Amino acid sequence: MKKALLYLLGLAVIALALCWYIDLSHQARPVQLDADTGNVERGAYLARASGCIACHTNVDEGGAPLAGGPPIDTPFGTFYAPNLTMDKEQGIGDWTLEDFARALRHGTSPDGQPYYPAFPYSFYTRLSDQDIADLWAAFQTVPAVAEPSKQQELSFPFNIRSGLPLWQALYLDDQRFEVDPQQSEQYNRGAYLVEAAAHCAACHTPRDLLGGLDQKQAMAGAEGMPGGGRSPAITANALKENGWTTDDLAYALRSGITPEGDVLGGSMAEVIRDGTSFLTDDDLQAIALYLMNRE
Amino acid sequence: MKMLLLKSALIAGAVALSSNVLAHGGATGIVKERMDQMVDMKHAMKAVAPMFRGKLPYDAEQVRKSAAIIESVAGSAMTDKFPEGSMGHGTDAKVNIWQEWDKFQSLSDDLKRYSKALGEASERREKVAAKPASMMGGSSMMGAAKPAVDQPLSELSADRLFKMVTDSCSSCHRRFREDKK
Repeated sequence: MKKALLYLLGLAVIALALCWYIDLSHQARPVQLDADTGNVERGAYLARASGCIACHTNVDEGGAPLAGGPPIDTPFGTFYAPNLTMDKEQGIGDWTLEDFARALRHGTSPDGQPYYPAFPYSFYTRLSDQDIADLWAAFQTVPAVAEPSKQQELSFPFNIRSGLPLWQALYLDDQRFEVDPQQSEQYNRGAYLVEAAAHCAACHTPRDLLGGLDQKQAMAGAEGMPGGGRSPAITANALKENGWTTDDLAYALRSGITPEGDVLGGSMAEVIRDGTSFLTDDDLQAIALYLMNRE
Repeated sequence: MKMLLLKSALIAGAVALSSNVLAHGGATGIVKERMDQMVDMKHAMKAVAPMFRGKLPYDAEQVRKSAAIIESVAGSAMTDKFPEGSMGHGTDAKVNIWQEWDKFQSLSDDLKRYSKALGEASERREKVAAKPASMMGGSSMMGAAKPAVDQPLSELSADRLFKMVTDSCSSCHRRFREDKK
């Protein structure tokens, strides 16, 4: 235990030293979007698929949509998804589309402060320009709520925000989703939903000590889920070994019911209730097809 | 040589035995009793889910049977199996059951009412829309909660009640069950 603590401390020192090199200025970098008019309906659908609503709404306590989420307990500390309503003081009502795009693509606030990767911007950076404009249009329709966002409660050394630019330099790849021409349209739609919008790997891929995804074990399941427990492996092999079919997966994402008659719990229950249960049959089939055949 | 063989055999036996126990989660006592109840519900769900999903022909008799099984182990039949602090013994339960006992009880009672109503509604079918009809503008797409049911349970279709049964399983598992695999 002491060793682990020392190790962490060492890491923190190295991280801090590196941060001096990488970025001390916290300057917001410009973002260019090739889209100005967003489609509200598409954006709302995408907000469901991407978990914006699930994470930023405290459904259990009857919280207003996007007015701030319930605590998310992780091995790094407790995160609270902030108020994303159009309130100018407490929400993001004074943001521009460019500010919004910068948050999703660079993981930084309008004044250049880095966000914790609990906000899965390393996935959202794969969204298209039009996706971001659509989301922004949908966010405009949500009533403003003047509720202050909660402070993040992280343990040392993760409470040192100046370590975040290092994290971003290591793990944030500012790349859009790319269609694989070798694969079917349905497979590509599934890949886009899984790898960009729905960010399945955020929970189903284990993280290293610094909270970066361990790509060698992509979708292999992970410990330390919010509220305890572990997420199951959802690699194509694991799913097949456990007897899943594409239809079963699509149905589980709609209803929560597994082929065995169990009903999924943990944070997946929230993902289904506030996210995937709203998706079209075609999209659920695409997600399932992609996961069952992912290479 | 003989000694080695004996040792190997003993080890193999021990491994087989322990994996056998593990296969049942190693549960004992009241924890085992409540886990068995959960398994009964799982089987009951497995028998009818494919019907509501349209994968198997609908069988009202089976729906009544499954609903009766769930009803019989829901409500106090379930909560009685969770005396305060009954952790360990292979349980997947989370300690917050006892911190949020009222919630646990009300979810368990919901399950009892919904499964009872499901049995009574077994002949009443309805084509439930696969996804919410409208996306925006006072609709549920950007909003938080599902629309509350304002009809009495006795008027709801089997399809709707099956979803309510499922959702109460899910609510309870989300709060009170720890997923370990």
